[in-house]
Amino acid sequence: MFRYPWLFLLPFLFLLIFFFYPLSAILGVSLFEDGRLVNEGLQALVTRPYYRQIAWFTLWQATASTILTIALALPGAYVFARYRFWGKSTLKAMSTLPFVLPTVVVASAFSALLGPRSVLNEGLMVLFNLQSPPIDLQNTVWIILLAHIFYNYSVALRMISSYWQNLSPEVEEAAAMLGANPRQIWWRVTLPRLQPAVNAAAVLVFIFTFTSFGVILILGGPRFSTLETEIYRQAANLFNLPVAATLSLLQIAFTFVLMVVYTRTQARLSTASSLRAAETQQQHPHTTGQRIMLAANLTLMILLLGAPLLALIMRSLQTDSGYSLLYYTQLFVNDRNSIFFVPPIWAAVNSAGIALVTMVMAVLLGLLSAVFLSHSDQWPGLKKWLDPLMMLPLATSAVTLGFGFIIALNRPPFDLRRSLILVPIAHTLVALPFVIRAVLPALRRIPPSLPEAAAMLGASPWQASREIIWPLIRSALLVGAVFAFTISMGEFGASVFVTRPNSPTMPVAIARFLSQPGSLNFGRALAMSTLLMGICTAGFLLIERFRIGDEGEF
Amino acid sequence: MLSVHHFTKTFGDTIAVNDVSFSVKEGDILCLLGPSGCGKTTLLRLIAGLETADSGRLTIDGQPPAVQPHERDFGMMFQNFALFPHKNVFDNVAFGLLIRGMSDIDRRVAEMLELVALTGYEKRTIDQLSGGEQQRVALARSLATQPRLLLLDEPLGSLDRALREKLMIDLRLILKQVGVTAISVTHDQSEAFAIADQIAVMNHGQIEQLSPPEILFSEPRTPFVARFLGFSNIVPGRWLENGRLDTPLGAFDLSYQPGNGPVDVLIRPTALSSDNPDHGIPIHGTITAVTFRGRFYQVAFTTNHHNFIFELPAPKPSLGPFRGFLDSTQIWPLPNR
Repeated sequence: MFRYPWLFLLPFLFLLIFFFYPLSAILGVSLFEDGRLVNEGLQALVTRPYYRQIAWFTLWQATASTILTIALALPGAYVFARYRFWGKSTLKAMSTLPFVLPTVVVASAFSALLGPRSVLNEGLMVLFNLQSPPIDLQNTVWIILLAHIFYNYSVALRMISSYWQNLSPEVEEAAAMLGANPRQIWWRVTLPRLQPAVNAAAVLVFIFTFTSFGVILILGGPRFSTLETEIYRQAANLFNLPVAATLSLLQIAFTFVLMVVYTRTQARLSTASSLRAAETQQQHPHTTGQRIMLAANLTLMILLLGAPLLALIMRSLQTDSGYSLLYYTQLFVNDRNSIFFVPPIWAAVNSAGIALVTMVMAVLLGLLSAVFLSHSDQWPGLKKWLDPLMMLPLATSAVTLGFGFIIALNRPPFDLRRSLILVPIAHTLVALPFVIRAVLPALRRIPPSLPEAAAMLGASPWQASREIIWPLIRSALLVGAVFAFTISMGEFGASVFVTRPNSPTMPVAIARFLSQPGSLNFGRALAMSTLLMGICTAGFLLIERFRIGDEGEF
Repeated sequence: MLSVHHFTKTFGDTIAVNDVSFSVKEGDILCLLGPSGCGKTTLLRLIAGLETADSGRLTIDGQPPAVQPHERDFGMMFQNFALFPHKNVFDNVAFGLLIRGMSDIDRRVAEMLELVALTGYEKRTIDQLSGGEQQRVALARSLATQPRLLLLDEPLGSLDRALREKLMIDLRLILKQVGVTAISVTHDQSEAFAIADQIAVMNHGQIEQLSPPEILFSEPRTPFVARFLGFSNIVPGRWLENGRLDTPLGAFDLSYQPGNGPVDVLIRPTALSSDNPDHGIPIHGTITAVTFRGRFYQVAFTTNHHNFIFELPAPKPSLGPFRGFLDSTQIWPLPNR
């Protein structure tokens, strides 16, 4: 295993050049100019109320999204934790689908459901002969919150319900025997017992919504700005690099703190949940009240998760002259006044190529990292800071990464601004933690005695790796590879910085279509979103097929 | 056949194996017996080549073995059997043969499975096997390549009590049938007694005693060995000028060669009786507790401010003062401290 020890330096070198170096460049741009310490960015941040408003809105929308998500997910979690019903495992598996859907796809889907040109509005306008769309949530905070709930509902549901089902209902029964009514039991017994899971889920949802980019940029329009979208606007539209860099620093600080909090809450979660497994406690609903509870939650879930995706598909087929594949065929046409200079479908080719390269890089680096990390188990002191180090890119927002790339990698020693490899590199950084998280548990599950047994039977280290280790991590690695591919296909935050205008990726192309006027552009955005959704769903099905248990999730 | 010369291995500040030397005869089964953390598994792994000794060397038939474990041609059975979970029984047993590129693998595997009474199990997957069956597959796998030396790390350690009792008899029979030289590690003295020709009792990284099982039991050399074998009555004693052994229970004339100075004395639990044996001395004390143990009553006996555990036959002894005799043939002065 350690015949070529320098190989294990590769992941570190990769992180050093493509993660820490851009981050330090952000620090440099924010605080220094021509070698002098300056504080213009910082000053602007503190003195101008505009930035205070942005920070406030970032916190506000994240908090609101989190509270709404948890409030909606709790009853659903109850249903999943305590009842058996037909189709439960399929529904539970399908509920993670949003997690792999690209943000731009979700934004398109919500536009198609609740925007001015939505399926709903066009129907109502024809029906009641209206001049303007009656339901237009586009560019309101409501559509942002709804999209965030769509994304995070199932994350919260899964985390809370899997914890809940391991809690014995006997404690609630004991409380009832002591005279507590159902409301008292909920507030005084059940909710406090669920606290670790609720906390962990809330922190995770907060992180996701705090760093949400595509949803806010596309659905919120110019009216709404969070730290994340403001970094993009300052850097890409206004070329105000010091302010963008200072905002990035703020963002980095926030996410790191949140990540530390999450690691803490999650640690408590895993120690407590291993106490007891009680799936046998689940039963079929038998009272009318229970049936209504079940039906209401399942309806909400299917509506919440299904409606936007269904609206997306329907709306992509609905043209001014009835249902047709017009928008799809239009993807192959190179307009004279095109925003891409090539037929839009080339974005799919670009994305696929980039995703393949990303997959190869992320799998190689992820495998090396995971092998190294699994060996570092022998040195607890080293392991304590190596694990978080490898996961650090996960805590960094994609926009920050992309921004760091354009200011750090456009000049020697790493002048990659014009290089095609820049996009896959950015995607690899985003995907790497997921590959590691998929492979590392599989590696750690292999007892050291297995390769030792192989050695004692005469197998060389190479033979032992090939015959024993490889077959045992193969499917985990496949999951990691598909994850990397899917993440790359949908990556948006870093891509908007690093893709070149004439070779966009699918999400970048979708966002550009959405920002252009006209029903053709809208239709093509939805058509491409539908294609992208199909690709990501295929990836998701592959992952579900090969995933072992619940591992490698977050 | 195999000789270990001055093996020492430290992990950080702890000395796992401390200047250990011993030899094993061709065809013998040696058991390394000791409590957890005594260094017995580390010693086994040093022999296997899975760990590297800080100092000391190993010879086999007078020659040093290869450095890499996979070139040593030793077999090893691991504590949790370490069966390859993605391979079936046949492929597990055949693994070493395939690696060596041997011919006639089918026949050899069939032979091995017959040896461990698992004929017909070829296509079973590992998770379809019971613990006892897994143990036998692991044994078949490690014997299939006809290793020069078989190393066994707690070969029955992960099985439940009743199964262990049966399998330890089978294990010795199979090892003797094959005639392989073996070193087995265990913390269980009954397992060691059942399978070993020689037992090495280990403590704090050192071998305290290396003897055949019978000698170990009748003539433990140190208080640690005596206690580890389950003897609890060990009292301080002293050799007198006249060759008698003075203990808190009285002075004994013993048939052993007397020593001099202070000595730890083992009083076997069967030493106390109510009738006078041939070499008995009278004793009186108090019985403070009586427990029925099936074939005998276990009594807590206090005399001269010392507490002892003895075994008395029926009828049930009563609590309170007791007058009886101590059999001096059941008194064993431990040679080392």
